[in-house]
Amino acid sequence: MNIDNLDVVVKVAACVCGKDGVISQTEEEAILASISSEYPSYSLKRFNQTLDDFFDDDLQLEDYLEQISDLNLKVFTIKLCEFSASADGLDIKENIALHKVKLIFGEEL
Amino acid sequence: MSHFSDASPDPKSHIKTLMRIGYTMPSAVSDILDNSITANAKNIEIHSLPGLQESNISILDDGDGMSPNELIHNMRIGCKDPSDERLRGDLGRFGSGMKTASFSQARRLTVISKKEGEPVCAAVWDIDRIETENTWCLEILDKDEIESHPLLLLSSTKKCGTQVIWEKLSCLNKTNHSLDDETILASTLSDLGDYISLHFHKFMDGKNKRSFTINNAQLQGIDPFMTKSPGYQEGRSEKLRCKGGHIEINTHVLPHFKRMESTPLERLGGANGIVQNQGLYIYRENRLINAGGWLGLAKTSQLGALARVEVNVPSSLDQEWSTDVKKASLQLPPRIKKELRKFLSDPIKRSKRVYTYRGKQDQANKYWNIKENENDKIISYQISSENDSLTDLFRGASKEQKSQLIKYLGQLAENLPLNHIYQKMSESPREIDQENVTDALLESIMSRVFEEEINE
Repeated sequence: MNIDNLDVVVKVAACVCGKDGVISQTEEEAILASISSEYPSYSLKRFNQTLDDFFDDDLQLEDYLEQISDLNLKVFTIKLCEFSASADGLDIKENIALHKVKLIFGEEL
Repeated sequence: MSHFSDASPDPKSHIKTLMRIGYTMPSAVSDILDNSITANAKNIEIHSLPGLQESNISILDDGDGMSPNELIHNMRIGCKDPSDERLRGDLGRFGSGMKTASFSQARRLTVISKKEGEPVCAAVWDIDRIETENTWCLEILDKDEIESHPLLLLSSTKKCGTQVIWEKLSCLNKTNHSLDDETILASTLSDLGDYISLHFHKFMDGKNKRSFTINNAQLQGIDPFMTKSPGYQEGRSEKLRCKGGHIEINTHVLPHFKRMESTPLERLGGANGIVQNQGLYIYRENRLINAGGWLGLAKTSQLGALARVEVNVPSSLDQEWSTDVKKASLQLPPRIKKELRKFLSDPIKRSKRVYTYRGKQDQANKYWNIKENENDKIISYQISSENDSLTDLFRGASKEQKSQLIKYLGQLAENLPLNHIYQKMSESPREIDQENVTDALLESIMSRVFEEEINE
């Protein structure tokens, strides 16, 4: 697994959770817990850097989704988004973003 | 074919607008202090020397200072783009604070500055001159003029630093019937000290520590959460990640009034201030912007008086939080409102619990019963009939005396001065002293009986 691909996965989850420009601590912990259990080599330092980069990027959800081509990673991305966005309650904007991920990836799954 | 015409603002009118941007004296000085902190000053001194014919205020710091070119650039109004990203710890925003804050309080602003390795430089904005000449004419002082400036405090031996001088003070609000300048200024400086002690308290302790003085008197920080007082309760906290850092939310519950020490209580505005200032404490880069009030998220109540929610926001979110020029107010973005609501119930509930606990203690009193009717939502305070002394008194009394006593006790309970007690308990609970009332009562009855006997 190329670790750069995981950065994109984290950014997709951040995009879904941080629809209003803020990611709560609960959501952040959920993303990290989920990704660490599946990919233990993904470090906390890298995770923090990826989230900082995410806030500096101008990319949209669709732009991140385009960068994920591996089928297994797509399945993991959907799971990650579902788990993290609902960690502190799924609000309407998060739900719409989650649906978008499922819709775009769903065509290929 | 359309064409363009120069419609730049008229300096004479524009300066009058800038003078009325809505600063108070403390918020204006705070804006200057923001610049000192951003310039890494460790010692910030406010001087207003008494005994001068014309009052003035000087703010002196030992920060990085400015070169002559930087000074001229920074004296320009709007010298920075508000949408530019600021470094962490930069308390500036619009690049207008120093000028607009100064113009709101004084008609003459002089800035003397020295940067390491650069010559000392000074520039003056004089509103009278701008109005007379109707141009933005900035006066640049030469070396001799700086050295002979009567209010110069920036020592030539210092490596760096900046001195802001306000002259021709308009903030003193002098009218025919007002007090003299020095009395007004002394009172204003006292309010200023309290304001700075509260709004910059995070810079007066810990790793960010800086020294703030007013006329050489050291200012001590006011901790609005009384974190070091016995009975303080720390509540939930959370970090929300956002562009440029984290929004940190911490909840606090103050100790009950009875457990507060008198000095910190007084510095927080007394019991009345504690009730009024419940709510959100929003800090921008450690500088307090909003001191209390729930900003529409909850209702102010007597029982929630001890609840405080601390919110720390990085300056990178200024756009989203609509920080104004004065940095004295901001608006909560919808997502933050949603997040904050999750935190409000906890400190308010715990504040209520502190009060209710005190209420239950009062119920245990053997002289009074507190009857709370849940269905009718009625609370009444009644004299306890279970009291042993009262029972003994009734046993030894005649039928007529019993009837008189019942009537009297009933009226005593009915005429309990509840409104007065409520008001005094809110305003000055520490001044209430019920310990010696029995002696006072005895004395009063004895003297009355004695007087009646003499009259007979």
